[in-house]
Amino acid sequence: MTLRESATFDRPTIAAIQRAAETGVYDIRGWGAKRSVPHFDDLLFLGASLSRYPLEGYRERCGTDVVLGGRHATAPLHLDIPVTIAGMSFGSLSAQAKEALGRGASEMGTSTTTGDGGMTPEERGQSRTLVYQYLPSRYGMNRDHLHAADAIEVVLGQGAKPGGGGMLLGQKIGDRVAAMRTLPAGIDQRSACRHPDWTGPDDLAIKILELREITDWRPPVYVKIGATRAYYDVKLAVAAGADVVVVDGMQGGTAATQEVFIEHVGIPILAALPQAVQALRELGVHRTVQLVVSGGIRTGADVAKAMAMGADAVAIGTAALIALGDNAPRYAADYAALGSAAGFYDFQDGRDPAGITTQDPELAARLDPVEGGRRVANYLRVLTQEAQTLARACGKAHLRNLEPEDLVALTVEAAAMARVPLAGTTWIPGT
Amino acid sequence: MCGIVGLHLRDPELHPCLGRLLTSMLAGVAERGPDSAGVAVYGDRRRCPEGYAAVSLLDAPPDLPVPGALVTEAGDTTVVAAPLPVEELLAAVTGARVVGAGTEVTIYKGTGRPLDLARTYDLADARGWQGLAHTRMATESQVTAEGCHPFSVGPDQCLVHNGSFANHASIRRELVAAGVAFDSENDSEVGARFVAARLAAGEDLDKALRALCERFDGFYTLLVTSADGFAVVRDAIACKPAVIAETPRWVAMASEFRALAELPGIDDARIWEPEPERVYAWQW
Ligand SMILES: Cc1cc2nc3c(=O)[nH]c(=O)nc-3n(C[C@H](O)[C@H](O)[C@H](O)COP(=O)(O)O)c2cc1C
Repeated sequence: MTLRESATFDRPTIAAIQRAAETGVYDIRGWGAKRSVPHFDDLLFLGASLSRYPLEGYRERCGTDVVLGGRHATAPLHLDIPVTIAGMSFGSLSAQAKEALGRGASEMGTSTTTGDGGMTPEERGQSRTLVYQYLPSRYGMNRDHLHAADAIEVVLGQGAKPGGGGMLLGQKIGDRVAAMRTLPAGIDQRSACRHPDWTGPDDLAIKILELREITDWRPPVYVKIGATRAYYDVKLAVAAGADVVVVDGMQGGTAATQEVFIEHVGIPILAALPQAVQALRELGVHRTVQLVVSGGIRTGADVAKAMAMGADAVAIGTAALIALGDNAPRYAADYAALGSAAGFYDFQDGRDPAGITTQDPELAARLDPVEGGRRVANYLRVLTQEAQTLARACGKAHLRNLEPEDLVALTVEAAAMARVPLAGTTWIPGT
Repeated sequence: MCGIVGLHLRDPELHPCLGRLLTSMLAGVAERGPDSAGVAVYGDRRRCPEGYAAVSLLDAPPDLPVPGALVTEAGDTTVVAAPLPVEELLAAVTGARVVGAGTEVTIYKGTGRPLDLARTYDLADARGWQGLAHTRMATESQVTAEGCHPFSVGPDQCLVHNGSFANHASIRRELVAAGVAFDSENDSEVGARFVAARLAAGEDLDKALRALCERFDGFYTLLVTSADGFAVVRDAIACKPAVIAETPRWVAMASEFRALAELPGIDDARIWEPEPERVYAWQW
């Protein structure tokens, strides 16, 4: 007799029910959605041929720079590449990891971002351009750090958990993390899911003005949202005064969140991006208020496709950690000892053998920030070169000149979400 | 994929020869664009008398309600000249497809072999102080009279393009959002509308074309003319051919030198290949 697995009650589902029944607690994990969702892989570029001309790879310029925040800020950010490092807290990451991200980003002329836990001297010191997050938890928030920031990112939500707050399990709350957050060490911590300083866009506008006054209108103010009602949220963020809007798709990474949240709330970045662009266009501020998108960016193709759909830049979280050495096969035995495996480790547990998502001093010491920085820079370089390869193939002398008309979709779903035609047709579902 | 020629006559003695010179220039680029051809003639007082305005129309309805108008048909194109201000004449021909308007310029477009079209337009007989012609091999739009260059979207303005823009869809969207209406799907029209918006905002050709270089990606050799200007610009790679020649009696440009070879005094002309992303503008 052949065994037949149920599609509805597949093995992970059965295991989850068993785990719930045994422990009585819901599952908390890091990483992002593990289910398959329509993504940039479902899009293809129309390269140049006879009606258009491609550019030559090594000889002909294909610019990659981007300016973020010129709408109101007097000191907008000038980045050499449109790939930035997303906010990941000190706490979820080791100080070494934060420093390494800063080193890698700086080498490539791009920005890195603090996170839900404040600014460390290591990352400030090694980051040429540092975006400082202002979050519902307000952990580590202080005036000096606002002044030390090159930009301020007001975080309303995250793609992995729109409507939810941060989580950090007790094993990651060492003395230093606890002191920065003014919380007891070793105890699970849940950040606020909504900001105490505002209840809606009207108060947010006041908050943003306050931040501008404190910083003398110098650094740009970003607003980061988790992708849900992206069309309205982007419009409201602009109305509240944002210089830059960051939209994080549902597949975006997180340090730790309820599994049910990660898999069931929010919309994929492919669906959110056209909504965001539409909102900006309708307000007449597309390209004036820059759009940064994140959630599942892995390759230069993802970068190029996001930009073709209208993003000005992208942010990476999970991929940057992998570049640093996270989930590396050389730690296979250690991952196995944790009941995980290289390629499956989810960040939340705090005993990261690669020394990245941990506060354990011995484990953290495994990560050399200089070597880690070199790896991050290498990875950013490859992402950029891959994006340039595609842009040149489409005849663009700058990444920002990619456009939705350069794209087609492989599936009806992706065509409808991305609002580009199904390959080989002129059909955009819904139009 | 296309051929361009343009001639600005500084010496009034040459004005009666404009059409003959332009026809020989057109012959020099005919093979580059066998689909269709368009022509613009500036200052031919038989086509647009002093104190008149002229509009060039495609598929004009048989009886246009313009009293006192001078109507000439040339293949697909109908030129209507009347002793009215340009705006009034335009208002009088609403409904027809306008492909050019002004007090100096008359424009002709059509599909077919370029030299046959030159005869249809009676080009050899044209007089005036400036003219240009374009022969087209269509890329991403259909072979129609509407798709022909020059694109004339502002009074007495013309733009002819050889190449293809790579980000025209985005710029079109921006212009549409700013209230600009388009007649065709053609990428070159986006260039023409962009320049027209700049000129309308008070910029000169030099400034407008510099802005175009900043904003437009892809390949282009452009010739842009107006009632008081003649300008040439090429993309950063200068991929599409162009040559400029200048003498005290005229300024000329063409996709290929052979189109200039029969101009009077060519042997003593200053002849050069325009540099990438440099605007060559003559304004008077
Ligand atoms: C370990 C980790 C920690 C994170 N911490 C924060 C945080 O403190 N604040 C925040 O806004 N987002 C945080 N994020 C989300 C990222 O900023 C970003 O939105 C997400 O990682 C993008 O998706 P990606 O991981 O697929 O690139 C975190 C993500 C990870 C993986």
